[in-house]
Amino acid sequence: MVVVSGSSAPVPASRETLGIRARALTPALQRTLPVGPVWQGAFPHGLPRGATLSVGGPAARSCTFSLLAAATRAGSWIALVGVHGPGWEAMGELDVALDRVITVETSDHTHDADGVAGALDGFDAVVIGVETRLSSSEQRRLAARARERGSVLIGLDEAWAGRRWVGPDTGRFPRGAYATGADVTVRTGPSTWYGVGQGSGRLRSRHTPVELTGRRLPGRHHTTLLALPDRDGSVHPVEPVAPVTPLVRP
Amino acid sequence: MTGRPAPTSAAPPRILVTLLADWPVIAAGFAVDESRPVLVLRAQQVVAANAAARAEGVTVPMRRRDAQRLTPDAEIVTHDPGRDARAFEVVVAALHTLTPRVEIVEPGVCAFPTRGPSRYFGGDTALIERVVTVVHDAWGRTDRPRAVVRVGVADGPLAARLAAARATPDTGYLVAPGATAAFLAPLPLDVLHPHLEDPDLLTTWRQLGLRTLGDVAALPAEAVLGRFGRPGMWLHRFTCGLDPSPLALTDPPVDLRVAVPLDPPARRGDTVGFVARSLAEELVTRLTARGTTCTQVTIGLHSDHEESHERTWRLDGPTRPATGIHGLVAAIADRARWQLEGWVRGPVGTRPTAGVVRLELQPGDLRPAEGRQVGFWGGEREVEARVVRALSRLESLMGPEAVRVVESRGGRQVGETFTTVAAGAVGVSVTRRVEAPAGVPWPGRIPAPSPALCLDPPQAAEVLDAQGCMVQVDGRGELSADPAAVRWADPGTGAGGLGHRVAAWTAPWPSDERWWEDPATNNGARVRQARMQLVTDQGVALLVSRRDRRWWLIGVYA
Repeated sequence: MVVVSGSSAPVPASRETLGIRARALTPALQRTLPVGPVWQGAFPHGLPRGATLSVGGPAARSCTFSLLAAATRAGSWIALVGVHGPGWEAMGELDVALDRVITVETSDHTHDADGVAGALDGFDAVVIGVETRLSSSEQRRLAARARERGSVLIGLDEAWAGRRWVGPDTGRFPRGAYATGADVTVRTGPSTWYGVGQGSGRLRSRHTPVELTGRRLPGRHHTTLLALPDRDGSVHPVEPVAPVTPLVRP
Repeated sequence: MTGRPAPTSAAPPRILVTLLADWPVIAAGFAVDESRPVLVLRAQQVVAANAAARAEGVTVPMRRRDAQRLTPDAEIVTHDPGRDARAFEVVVAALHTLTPRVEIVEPGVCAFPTRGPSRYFGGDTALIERVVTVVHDAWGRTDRPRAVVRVGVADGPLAARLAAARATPDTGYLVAPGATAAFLAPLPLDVLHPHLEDPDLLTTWRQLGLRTLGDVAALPAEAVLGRFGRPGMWLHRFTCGLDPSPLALTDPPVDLRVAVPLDPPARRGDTVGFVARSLAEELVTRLTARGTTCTQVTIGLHSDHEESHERTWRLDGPTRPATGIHGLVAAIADRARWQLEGWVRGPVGTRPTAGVVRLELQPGDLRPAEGRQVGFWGGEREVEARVVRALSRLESLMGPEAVRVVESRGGRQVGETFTTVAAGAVGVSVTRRVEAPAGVPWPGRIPAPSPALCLDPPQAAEVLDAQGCMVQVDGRGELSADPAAVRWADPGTGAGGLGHRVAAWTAPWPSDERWWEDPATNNGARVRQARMQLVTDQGVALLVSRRDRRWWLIGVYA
């Protein structure tokens, strides 16, 4: 309760309302992070702030970088926590603004949860790699913190054990954080690479089937075939020539 | 806007500034003549250092690692603005006996107008002596570290502060009325650097050839206003001896004072801070509705036994942590908390005997609210302040070498175009451009697309032909057989493990870097390798390299 002491004429209502109206607003658009045109089908208003995503499959990294590229170009800062060997050239090719990326290496895992929490406070998006050790209760608490702080939390679900990549998602090795229980799940299926022959050529483009599911998605389910990237380096949906085959289920 | 008259060209009121140098060090318990160097740090930046540290070359501000390099045996203290303010309350209370209009600029520096006290004590010189005596009587107890007082008297608060910095210890520097411009003229531009929120203008002026404040005063006023705008005008008026930002000596209109009763009476700082925050939000909202902001606030605490404690705090300057409305509210709330803690822990005779039942905030020195504080540019600076704070927290949790940013370097191997450096070594708030240098040829570089996963160090692998023998690359860069399978060690067991069939492969691309180095004499700086892209039957593309007669997995197109 506020008591204004002293007596004098109150400010005319028109000036007060003018002051209130002139204040900066936070429209709904600012409660999302912008995404590039290729992802606008799945996220028409952008990545909802506070959401938790799980991205998995053989093309998980490229998908994650492509998802966050537009946000970094708009000025958002992102943190990669426990992501081993990030390919900076690949990120640059996917249009990520590298001056807005921080990477945090986790060696001694006693402070991983605190580290991710600290990153959520300051960064608009935090990508958790498999090098981060989080218990399921810590994951839940961090998801709640992300929601409270309005940061996007992305769990990179790669098949890793220790510091070595073990191959495509064989399901035999420890899963990444948020492999289950995320708001939006992005799963990439086996890709088709173009450009390499039997002892000739070079990698030029890749077509990857991508499946998005989640409560936070309009329509709850979205499947597409992406050129990730295409021959000219762009990322865009491909018109499927044949019906998309069912993907590996998470 | 308000009822105040517009500033005229008359000389500004004479101000006396009391300066206790390196106050954070003294508040932390180290005397001014401490022989060990002492550094006070806030988030990897040095905010204060004692004379012993400065003798080694430490300056304020400076990065923590640079300061520690100069003084490796320094005593490190974390900055606690609450502690500084509480300790300073003793000095302010002592000065309050001379005049009620004491304004706390920041812990260690306070100011008051000299008109009344000077007449009462018989002149400026007598007043200075009185101030020094009073401060030493109040602070100089055996359990408190020895401090040194400097006093400056001049026309205007900033000129008085500069004069105080030039006083000899435990005396004052008196600038005669009207002689402020002459006092300021020989000073170099850099003296203003710590006192300005935005010192970029000083850099511009230095590049244009201005060296001293006298040079600035010699410029024509209209030209300065036209070219450099309001900040330039401010500095120009200052160097001419006219005060562009006077201490608020007239009371603002009553309707801007806000107050709140506290029930039950509060004795703890954080209770008052909590209430002060919501009250400050109300105050700032009212100010913003009028298009104004305040750079000074008088906080009044009233206890249940009719005791009251009022202090005037300055709100702009380097101690304010962030710009924008939230920074202002947080600054007011913090000061209310420090004020209560200082009152409650002050000298026994002045402590309140009951809890605080009323908190009053009165804004002073109203200014038009400029777009800088809220909105476009303010928004960007707030984001970066948030990031810098998160970075320092991450560095303290994970270690400074674990938090890294990207820098472009250039190279022909995968993972060499960019490198990471510790975030503390780079100022992230400075705009950087990190891009692969365009138009620079790197022959032998594998073209786009690049692998999203770069294994460093590379992982040992095997590329086998259809018979299960290792595929080799001869001196001309040709394969001994078509690769049929690729395998790398299973990290769980360490033995040869997961294998994948190879569906497609490129021809090897040889590269021979530093071919002129002799491996016998130079630790093998020469790197001969052949790189190859493989696509497995599951659609995973890999980048392998043949080096030192072995295969290595160096990248995965994840």
